[in-house]
Amino acid sequence: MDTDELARRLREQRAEWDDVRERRVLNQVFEETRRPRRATAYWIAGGGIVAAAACALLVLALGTGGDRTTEPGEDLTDQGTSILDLGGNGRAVLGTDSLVSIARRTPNALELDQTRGTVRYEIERVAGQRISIEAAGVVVSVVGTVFEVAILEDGLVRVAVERGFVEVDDGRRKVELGRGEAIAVSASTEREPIADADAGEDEPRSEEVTAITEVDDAAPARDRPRSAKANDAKGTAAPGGGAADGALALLAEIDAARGSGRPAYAARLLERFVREFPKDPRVVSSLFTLGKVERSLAHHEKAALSFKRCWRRAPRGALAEDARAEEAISWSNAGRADRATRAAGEYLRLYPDGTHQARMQRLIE
Amino acid sequence: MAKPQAVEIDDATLVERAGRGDEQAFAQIYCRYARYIAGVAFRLTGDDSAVDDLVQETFVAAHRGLAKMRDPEQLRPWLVTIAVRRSRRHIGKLARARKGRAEIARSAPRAGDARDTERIDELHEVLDRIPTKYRVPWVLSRVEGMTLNEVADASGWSVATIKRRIAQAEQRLKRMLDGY
Repeated sequence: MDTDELARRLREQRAEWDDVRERRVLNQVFEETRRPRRATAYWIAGGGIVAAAACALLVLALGTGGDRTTEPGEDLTDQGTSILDLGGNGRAVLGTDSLVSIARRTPNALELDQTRGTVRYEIERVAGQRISIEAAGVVVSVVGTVFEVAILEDGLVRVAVERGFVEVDDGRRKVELGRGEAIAVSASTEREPIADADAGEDEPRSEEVTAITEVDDAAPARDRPRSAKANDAKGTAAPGGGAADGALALLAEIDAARGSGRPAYAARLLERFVREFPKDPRVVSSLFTLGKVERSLAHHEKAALSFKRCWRRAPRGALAEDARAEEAISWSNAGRADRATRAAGEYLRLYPDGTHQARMQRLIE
Repeated sequence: MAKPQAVEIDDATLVERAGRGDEQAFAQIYCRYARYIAGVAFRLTGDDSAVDDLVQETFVAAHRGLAKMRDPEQLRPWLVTIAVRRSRRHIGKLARARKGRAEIARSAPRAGDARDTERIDELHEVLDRIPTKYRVPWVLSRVEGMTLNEVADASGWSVATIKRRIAQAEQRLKRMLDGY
């Protein structure tokens, strides 16, 4: 090897930089830069006085409401980017021109209506409390997580999860999304009325990862090109225009297969994506998704192997910790106690303060 | 509701807005350049686990410095300059860690996808053997394709020094690569 070859090989190396990682680091940047101002303000408005005043109103409504019921119709139209303090329930970061209002607040329920724009929710749920966001007819129920809801054109709602789990209900089916997953759905006209949160829905939801059910009328083909177009704009799409287009088309097909309830076909397409575009940064999240799809088909060994491929592909990547935990759970589901124990032990060794610590401990015991 | 329209806002406008505290503008700057900065940091250091911190440090420093930025049209080179300085600090530390990992890897079984990690480690093991002051300009010039002036701006050394150091790096690497 000469220096030209060394430079060429180094040039080909790319960080495993995906959308999840990008959002997480941006969040950390904002947390770091906002720190000095936090002591004096609950909100930060990038816009003008109007946004600031509106923000303050909502913070007051949510933050000091305690057990009282907030009247519907309190709106926040954002002019820049603002943070809403949701009292003990975390916060919401509003994008430009987004509109959120409180539909209902009781001791057992917090329901927000997002009418337009993009809002990032960082929710800390209190046990026994139901938190949901309705966006263009799609209901996103919160388990305790960080996620983003965007209302796109034609009534499509895009939900992207950064951490934890959410349940997306389009009126006909529910789909649970985990870390790194995103879906675009539109609301069904056959929606059942939203259950009364005070009428027996106080039990905390299980945080276990369950089989993925798919929504019928998802239209994720619109979603994938959206994020990939952003990548192209940054000049970082898969090398070569043709390859990039091929990857996009395949990802759109995968989303369509998942959206139309064909997980076995989606699994085959995911394998094809990994095989045909091995250097694409989305391979890591595709392997994670493959693990979840295999699990939904009750192929637990295949699921475990997919999660293992995911973390081995990016051992220090954004999904590595979750993938190791999911691998251990999948081995356990497959009845392979020896492998489950080994994987859980390895997780605990690597992440002694990890988010799945309790579940891994249970697998070992 | 009016349909959203994609409008490309130029860097100078974003810098001006972000400098006044518009976080949406800052987020746009981040979305435009974070992936590129992550790539530069990765190729300079060879350690994926350091990339998050380096990107974060770069954009935190940028957030604090945007209001004082003299030439907003030079946003990308300015971000690279910050990233290079942050990366330089990490290189020595990472080189020591990589040496330890390489020793473990020699006695450990190899399998599957982990080969990617080993390959990049091997490439950076070579770079670890030349001093940082030679390594950084060589990577910026030969790997990132930056001009001598750009490398000089990013690393804070004169063009003459950069030229000399790239040549030194080239010579040392050639000697080492003879054995590969």
